[in-house]
Amino acid sequence: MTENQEKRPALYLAEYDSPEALAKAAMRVRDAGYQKWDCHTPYAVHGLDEAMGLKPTKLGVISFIAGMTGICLAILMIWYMNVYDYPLVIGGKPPAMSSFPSMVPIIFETSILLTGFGTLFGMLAMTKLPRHHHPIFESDRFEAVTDDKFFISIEVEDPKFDLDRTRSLLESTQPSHLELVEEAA
Amino acid sequence: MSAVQENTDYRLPEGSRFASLWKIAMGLGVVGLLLTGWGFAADIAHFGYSFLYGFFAILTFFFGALFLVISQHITGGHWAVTTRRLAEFVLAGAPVIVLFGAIFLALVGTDTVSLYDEWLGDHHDEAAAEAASEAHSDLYPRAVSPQEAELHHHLIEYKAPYLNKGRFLIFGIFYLALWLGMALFYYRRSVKQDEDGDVNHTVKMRAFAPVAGVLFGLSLTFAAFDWLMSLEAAWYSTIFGVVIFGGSAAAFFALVILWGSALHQSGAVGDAINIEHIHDHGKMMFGFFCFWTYVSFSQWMLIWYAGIPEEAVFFHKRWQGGWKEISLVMIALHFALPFLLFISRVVKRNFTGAKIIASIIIFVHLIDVYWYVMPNAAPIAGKGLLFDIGALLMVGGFFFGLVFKKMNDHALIPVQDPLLPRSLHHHQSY
Repeated sequence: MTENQEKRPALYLAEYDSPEALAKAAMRVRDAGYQKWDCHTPYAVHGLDEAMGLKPTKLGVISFIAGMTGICLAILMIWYMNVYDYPLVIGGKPPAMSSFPSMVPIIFETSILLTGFGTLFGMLAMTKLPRHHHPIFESDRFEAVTDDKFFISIEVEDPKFDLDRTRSLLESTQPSHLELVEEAA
Repeated sequence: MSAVQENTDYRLPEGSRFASLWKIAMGLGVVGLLLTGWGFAADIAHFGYSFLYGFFAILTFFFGALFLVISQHITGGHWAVTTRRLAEFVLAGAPVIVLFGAIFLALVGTDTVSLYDEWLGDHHDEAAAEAASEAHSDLYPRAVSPQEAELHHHLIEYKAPYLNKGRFLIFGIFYLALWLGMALFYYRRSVKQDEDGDVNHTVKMRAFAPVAGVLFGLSLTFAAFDWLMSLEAAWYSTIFGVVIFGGSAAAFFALVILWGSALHQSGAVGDAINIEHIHDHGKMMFGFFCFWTYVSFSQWMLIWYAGIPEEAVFFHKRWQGGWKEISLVMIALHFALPFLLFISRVVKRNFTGAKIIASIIIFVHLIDVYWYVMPNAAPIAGKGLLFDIGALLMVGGFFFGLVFKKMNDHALIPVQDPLLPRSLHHHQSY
């Protein structure tokens, strides 16, 4: 990356020294109605979910639907294979739906498999992972997030983002440092 | 909330309706005692089964409490520190378990009841069995031919080194002594810590926990073998103890949900037991009734798949005379309905929702133990139901009478536990 390459703003990064200061600031940002913003902490901070106004994840719904799909697919598969296409007597049990109990282990395993897939890929889709890079890593100070500093980032994609007004909002929360992180255009 | 925070010693407040709960329980116990006495006089053969049912059903709650306390000390988790005291109250009821356990052993030892006559009775000696076999008598009512009676006898004879009265009684006394010792150890150490605040109690309780866990698992398994599985002496299932354990744990977590929610909602424990704790106990209850389903289904499916008469007889009995309907109700209430209703986080985090599901689980758990004991007594479901309920009320009434009385004597949470601050601030993240 050359020095004179054109840059554009990516996000505001506000740094705080304590989780209490961060939570207070998060409430201000939440009440201001921002959507595309996040808190970054070295460890899990209790009460931050509420301070940020996070809603419960929808991942459980995806898992549930995936699991139910697994159950239906397994029944359909066993019905097609052992009842419809190629009936075969195994262990003296008739090749019919009346042998349902012998299908249960396969139905169970398939539902677990699809629930696992649904949860993993649902999570990746919702968090937009994996990705190679995020402009937040352009900031050198952000390295302290794995040590002893607490950060709030507000991204430029947020509909309420405004270079001046967002800056004054964050300034009013008294961060120990505030910077505009830029990325290559 | 405001009234709640003034309650800093976590004692039961003056005039709380929980303070006299033990009297109600004891009263029900007396009613149960009268019903059981009537049953003893009216139908001694059925009385033995009723007594075993009442005793074992209540014993499973004691098992669940022992499991929660021991596993808490093994894992060092903070999610159940505040509710651990409720489990310790249940452990304090151990003397009632020992009392009724001793009565049960005495009833069997003196041949007053005939539950285990298949392998304990007189016809167990070889000469009598041969004579019976030749005479094609009705000593083996299940056998339809002399050859079958002979085979059956051979099978029981093969198990004689385990299935005999001396070992039955010695093991029984050993279980009761072990449970009493472990229960009082954990109960007394914990309430002692309330007074002196010595962290050494926690160290001692943790050090003993792994050993206690092994002893608990083995004693539960063999007690289930001795007292329930040997009702059908020729039948066996190696996973039997695990099934009993799964049901016990689910039922106990259900009890904690009901009890803890009631204490919270009456303001007696303040915020020390709140929806965050109930949520976790709900997850555990959900996990354990699913686990019960998993092992129960496995037990049934392997026997169904093999189709060997000696094994299938157990489920054959439970698929006729009204037991089939009860079996189906258990599939619905012990798994399908609570699974679908309770899978949602929203329901787990709602006091009313959690209490409804917990009530269903306790109800169906009592049916579960009934389903294990009673088909041996009555081929038709529901015979002598009044006496069965009487025995349940008798053991349960006196047991929970003693347990609830302890609520007046100690703080409702372990106030000096080193992990208590973390438990008080327990919080579920998304």
